[in-house]
Amino acid sequence: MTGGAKWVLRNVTAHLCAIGVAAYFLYAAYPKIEYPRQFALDIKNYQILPEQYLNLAALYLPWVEIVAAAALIIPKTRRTGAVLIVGMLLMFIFAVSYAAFYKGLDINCGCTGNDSAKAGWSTIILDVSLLAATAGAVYLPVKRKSRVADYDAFLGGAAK
Amino acid sequence: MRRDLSTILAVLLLSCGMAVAANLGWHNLDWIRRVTHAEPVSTAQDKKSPIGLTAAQVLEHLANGTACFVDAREAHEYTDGHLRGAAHLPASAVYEKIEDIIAVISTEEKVIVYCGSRECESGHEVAEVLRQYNFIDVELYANGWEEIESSCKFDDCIVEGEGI
Repeated sequence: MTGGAKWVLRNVTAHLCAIGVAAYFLYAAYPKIEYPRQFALDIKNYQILPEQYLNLAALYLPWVEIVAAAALIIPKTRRTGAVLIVGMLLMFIFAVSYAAFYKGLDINCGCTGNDSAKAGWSTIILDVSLLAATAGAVYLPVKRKSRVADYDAFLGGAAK
Repeated sequence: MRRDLSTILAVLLLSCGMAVAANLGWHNLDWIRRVTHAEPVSTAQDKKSPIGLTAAQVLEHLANGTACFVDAREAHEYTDGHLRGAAHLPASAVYEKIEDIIAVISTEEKVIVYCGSRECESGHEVAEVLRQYNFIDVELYANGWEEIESSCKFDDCIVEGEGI
C-alpha cells in the first residue's frame, strides 16, 4: 500500500470511529434528556450515588454526553471530546461491574435511556468497543507530509 | 496540555448551562433531592424478608377481580406470556408509559405489581413510581413470573400477546 493510500485509510477510519462513537452518545443521551426521572431511577438502581444527587446526575450527565460527542466530531476539539468520553466510559464500566458482578443486581443498564438491556457482560463489551473506537479516533490520524518534505525525500532518493 | 484542560472546562461549563436551561424550561426537577422517607425502600436484595403477596392471595384477587395487575417485565417477556388482564409497565420506560396506566387504572384501586422473579428490581421500581403517582394501594407479588409459570395453579390465568 502506498503512503497516500495509507494516509487516506487511517484518516477515514479515524473519522468513521469518531462519528460512530459520537452518534451512539447522541442516540443514548436524547431519551435521558426527555425523561430525566427515568434516568434518575436507572442511576438509583446501581446503588452507588446517594439519593440526594440522583437528579443532579440525571440532569447533567446527558448534556455532557451530547457536548462531548459534538467535540469528538470536530477535529480541533477531538482530543477534548475523547478525554471526556473515555472518562464516562470508564465510569460506566466501573458502575456496571460493581452493580452486576460485585453486588449481583439484576437491573436495566439504562445506557440508552429507555432500553431494556440488562447491566452485564454485553454492556461491558459495548463500552470496551466504544473505548477502542475512541482511541482509534484520536491515534489513527496521521499528518500528511508537506510538499517540501516530499520534494526533499525525492531529492534524497535521486541523490542515491 | 493547558489548551486541552481549558477546552474540557469549557465543555463542562457549556453542558452545565444547557442542563440548567433544559431543566428550567422543561422539567423543573429539584437539583438536589430532599430525602424525607425514614423507612428504607425494600429492594430485591432483601430476599430473606417476606415481601409481598403469596400465590394463593394473588389467585384469590384474580378470581374475584379485586385487584389490577401490572407486569413490570420487558416487552418481549410480556408478549410471551402474562397474567390475564395485566397491564404492561416496564421498568425501563416507566415514566414514559405511566400516563397510559393512569388512563386505564384508577389510583383508588388495588394494584399488584410483579416482575420476573424475587431477584429482579423492576417490580420494586414500578411499585415505587406508582406510589409517587398517588396510587394508594400498591402491593408487590415478589415471586412473580417465575412462580406463575412454574405453578400449575396459574395455567388458566396466563395469556399471550400484546395486551394492555
